[in-house]
Amino acid sequence: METTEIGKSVRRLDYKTKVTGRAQYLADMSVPGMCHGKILRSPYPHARIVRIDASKARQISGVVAVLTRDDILHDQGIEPFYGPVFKDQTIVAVEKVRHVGDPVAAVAALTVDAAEEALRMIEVDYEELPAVLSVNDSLKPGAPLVHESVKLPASGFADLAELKPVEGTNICTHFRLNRGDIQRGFAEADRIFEDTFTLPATQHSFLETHACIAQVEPGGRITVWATTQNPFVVRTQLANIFKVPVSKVRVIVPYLGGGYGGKVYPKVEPITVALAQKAGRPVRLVLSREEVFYTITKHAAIIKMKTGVKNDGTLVARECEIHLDTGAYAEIGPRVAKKSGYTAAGPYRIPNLKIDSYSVYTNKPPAGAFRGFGVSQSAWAVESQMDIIAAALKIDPLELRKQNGYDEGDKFVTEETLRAVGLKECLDEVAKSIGWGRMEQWNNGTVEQWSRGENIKRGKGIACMIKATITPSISSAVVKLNEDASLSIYTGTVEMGQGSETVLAQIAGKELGIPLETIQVLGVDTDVVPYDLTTSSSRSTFHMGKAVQLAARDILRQLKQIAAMEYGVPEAQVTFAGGKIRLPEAQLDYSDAMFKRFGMQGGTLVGEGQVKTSTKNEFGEKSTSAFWFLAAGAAEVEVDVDTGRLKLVKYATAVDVGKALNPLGCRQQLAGAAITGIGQALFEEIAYDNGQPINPNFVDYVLPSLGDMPETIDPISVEVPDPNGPFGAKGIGESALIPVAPAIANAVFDAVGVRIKDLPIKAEKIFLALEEMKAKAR
Amino acid sequence: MNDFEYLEPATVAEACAMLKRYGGEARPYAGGAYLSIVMKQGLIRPKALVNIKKIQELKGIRFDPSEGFVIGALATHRELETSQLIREKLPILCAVEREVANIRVRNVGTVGGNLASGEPLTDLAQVFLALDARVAISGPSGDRTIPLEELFVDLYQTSLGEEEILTRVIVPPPPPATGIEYIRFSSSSVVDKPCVGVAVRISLNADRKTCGTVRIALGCVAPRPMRAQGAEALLTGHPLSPQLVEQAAAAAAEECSPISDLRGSERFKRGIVRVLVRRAMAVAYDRASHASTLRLRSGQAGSA
Ligand SMILES: Cc1cc2nc3c(=O)[nH]c(=O)nc-3n(C[C@H](O)[C@H](O)[C@H](O)COP(=O)(O)OP(=O)(O)OC[C@H]3O[C@@H](n4cnc5c(N)ncnc54)[C@H](O)[C@@H]3O)c2cc1C
Repeated sequence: METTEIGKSVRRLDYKTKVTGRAQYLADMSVPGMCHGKILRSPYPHARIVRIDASKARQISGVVAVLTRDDILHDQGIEPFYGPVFKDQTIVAVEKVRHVGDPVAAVAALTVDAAEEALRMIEVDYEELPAVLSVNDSLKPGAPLVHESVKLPASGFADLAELKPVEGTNICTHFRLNRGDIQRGFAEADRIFEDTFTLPATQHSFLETHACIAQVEPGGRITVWATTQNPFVVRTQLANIFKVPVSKVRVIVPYLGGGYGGKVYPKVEPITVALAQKAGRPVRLVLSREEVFYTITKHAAIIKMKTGVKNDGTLVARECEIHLDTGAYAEIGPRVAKKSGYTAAGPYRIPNLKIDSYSVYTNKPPAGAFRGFGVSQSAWAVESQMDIIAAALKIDPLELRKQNGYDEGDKFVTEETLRAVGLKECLDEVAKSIGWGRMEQWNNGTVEQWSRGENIKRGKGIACMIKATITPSISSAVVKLNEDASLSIYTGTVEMGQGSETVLAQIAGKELGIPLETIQVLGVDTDVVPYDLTTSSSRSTFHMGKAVQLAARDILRQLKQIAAMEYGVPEAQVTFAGGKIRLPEAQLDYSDAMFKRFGMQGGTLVGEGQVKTSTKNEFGEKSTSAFWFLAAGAAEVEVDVDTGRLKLVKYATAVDVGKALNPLGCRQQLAGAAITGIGQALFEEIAYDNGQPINPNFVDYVLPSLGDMPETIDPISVEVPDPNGPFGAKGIGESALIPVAPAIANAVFDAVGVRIKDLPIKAEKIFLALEEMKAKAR
Repeated sequence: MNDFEYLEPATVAEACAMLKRYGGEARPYAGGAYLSIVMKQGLIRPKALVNIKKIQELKGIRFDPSEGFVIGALATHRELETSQLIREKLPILCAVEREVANIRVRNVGTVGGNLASGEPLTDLAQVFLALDARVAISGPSGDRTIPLEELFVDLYQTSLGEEEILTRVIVPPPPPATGIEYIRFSSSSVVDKPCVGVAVRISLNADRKTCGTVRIALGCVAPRPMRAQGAEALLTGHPLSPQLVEQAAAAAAEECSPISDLRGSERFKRGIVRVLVRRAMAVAYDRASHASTLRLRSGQAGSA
């Protein structure tokens, strides 16, 4: 067995279990006495519930419990309203349904068939209400209100304290950022660019749909097996809803089949617990793919961007209005909107800013966190407009970005100082990879050639980004050194495919000098592992990795004490190397020290590590992000000028990873995020008809396949270490996704001179724009 | 999914009898690629499924010098894709099959199911139409063979009786100096169902210059796969010229009746029909001019 290294690729620890199909996911699990839950959902985007009669459903053989609004309103043990930011959600609809698919009732039955039959027997009378189905409709004066009033929680997130719904409107939140003097900024500009960009609602498309098993003991103790990225947040929310202390709620998370932001905050847990409580026996609820489309989406957005620029390319002013369609419930939309606002200036120094970012209620399924968290929306506008500016000023898009891009020590829009900024390195790396500068110029020759192959034009495009991580936040870890010097790691980080188990084991192994094979990372159980805020925001390697590192150091500290005491040497003379304790005259195994300490083959040393970031950094400055994500992407495309069909030839993605602890894991994260970005850029879009998703399946909601991939995706790790990360590492989960869409749109422009401002970049949009261009040319 | 009886006939006659017994409430079940989806969605709720996969007489792919290619209804997409016979003698079909759906669907989906479902967003019908294929049908009251064109009635509707089984597709041996091309156009992912599919077959007259028989088959742009007969007529008797190609392509784009949907607007689809007809025609003509024997030349099916 070799000692653990960092910076050396290791195969992920869970690969065998997963590749052989033996990994347990929630839908595979059952508990004794379990019955099956199903949800009755609203067929209308907006309607008042006049009457619900579930009596016939209760008669169906096999039905154990039927849950309606009466159960949650009249139960003293249930607080009916919940939500991560505002308490605007209920377990089942109370007065109104607010989107197609809004839960109206639920059934627990001995079989899935009986549950489904019972759903059909529930009678609901609706009075349809006028619905607001787009941000524009929703913002019109006098528009029907999605929420007449919104309950605020007693104590909310510190970073969202200033954001409140605007009464009498559908504005969920309005985030403002002003910097410098916007009027003077535009007055100083030589050129002003105004553009509007849009992007549609999309899906996270994790393989595993949301699911939950809930069990409520007679004493009120709640156990849930949940498909969640933040078990401790779910624990808190369940404790609030069911009015018990958090110690009475246990959340267990099996391997998660993908999350991408779609599994943060409560989803199906409250309704499953309520059903289990009423049924008096455990209930398992597994959503269908269609139901996931009703449960959570990525925010659609309309972004108006006005930018003032000097003739030499210096950005001097930007006014930006962002409207995010947050759907029927706030969910975490307010923070998504805030992050969109923060990044509306992109990774660029712009002295004068006026940014207004809104989350807006509509009668559509709720939108929430999505890999990139508001930045994939803002960056679509920022990075597309950069190329519009570059083209107008005849400046190389790469140079324009480097000219205005952040350097070490620059001030972010919040006036805090940026540190460990690998932006330009990322830009240079992708430019090199894609052969930037060796650009094929579109030959405007005849487009009316009639044999295949001659109508293909090539282009290249580039884009970059900056993103923050959730701050403040907490991660804690416990590690146990066992008597044989093997190690158990306890954390709340959810392994959802990102490889966290592997990297946490690597960090502990490196710190203690022990082989990877002797380390076990335990699964998540809130009764066992210490608190962690969330597995999201690309934060786990940085935060939990650090906590594990500190916990391992705590073990070393204890070993040092033991060795010093047992061998009577000063602590200063005790050192560690290669998994051994070095004394001036001797060398000890950890297990020897353990034996000395406990006097027999047995005992445990427990190490603890805590990481707590705050809104002030160690220099006493304001801090909106514990560290910064920087990344760039570059695309090479072919466009068929007759059909508009686009083929991605090559994609390069560079991310400032701080330090690549597991280079293979980094490459996989970068390529994976790029692939998700390719789908978002080219195909993905939830289509609605009167608020009803019309493609809630993976035949009509088109995901990218292998055949759509470029021959090469080049994932590049740039290393500008962050002093606070473990071994200098930063987070990398989201960065690579964000530049994809604008890089491709910019490449399309380079190829055929067509500017697409609305995602996805479908063949039809290019085709229609080309038609227009050809008509003008004639 | 609803409860249903599951039946397993050994012969076509038995299958038809079973279908008859359920008087329209039973469905033949081949690969299930289509049925399993529509049944899960509750769009159809048959009382019985008649699994025809064990019926020997529906299997196999063979060539008969007088009849032509005889493709059993149970031949899967994958079998066509990998058949030695098809690869040698009707390579266009191999090339098309490489692009149909994805490997999972190709492994189970059958030619019979593909045609009998009347699904609008498919590929095979266009190629078969261009080749003047016929389909053989068996029912309780006997057998019949009809031109493939007559099978399709409307979206998801065919002229098959409720008690009938489509038994095979018959592709007559094409005349000498024939060239064919099929272009499958997807408006998004390559594995998405086609947005437009265009097959063009040209059989040259003895002069090897003027077009004899021309078939232009369009898919996904009308309630059923269709021939653009106006466009075909423009070419018959003429050598191909750029102007003529352009006229025929424009005519085909006029003749179809696409609807705007998730895969594109009407305007876009007509535009694509025009481009594909133009491209397929050039390739088909070129192949016809160089064709020596019965073998229908084709490289890769065009994928636009
Ligand atoms: C994801 C996906 C992508 C697809 N993409 C494409 C594509 O790109 N191109 C393409 O051409 N097709 C495509 N298809 C369609 C697919 O090829 C057909 O669904 C398939 O061929 C149906 O065949 P099956 O054997 O599975 O039919 P089944 O599902 O078993 O049956 C289909 C229908 O035909 C009836 N039927 C079946 N066999 C017979 C018979 N012998 N006689 C009478 N009736 C019969 C059944 O009763 C049923 O109504 C796609 C399908 C899916 C699911």
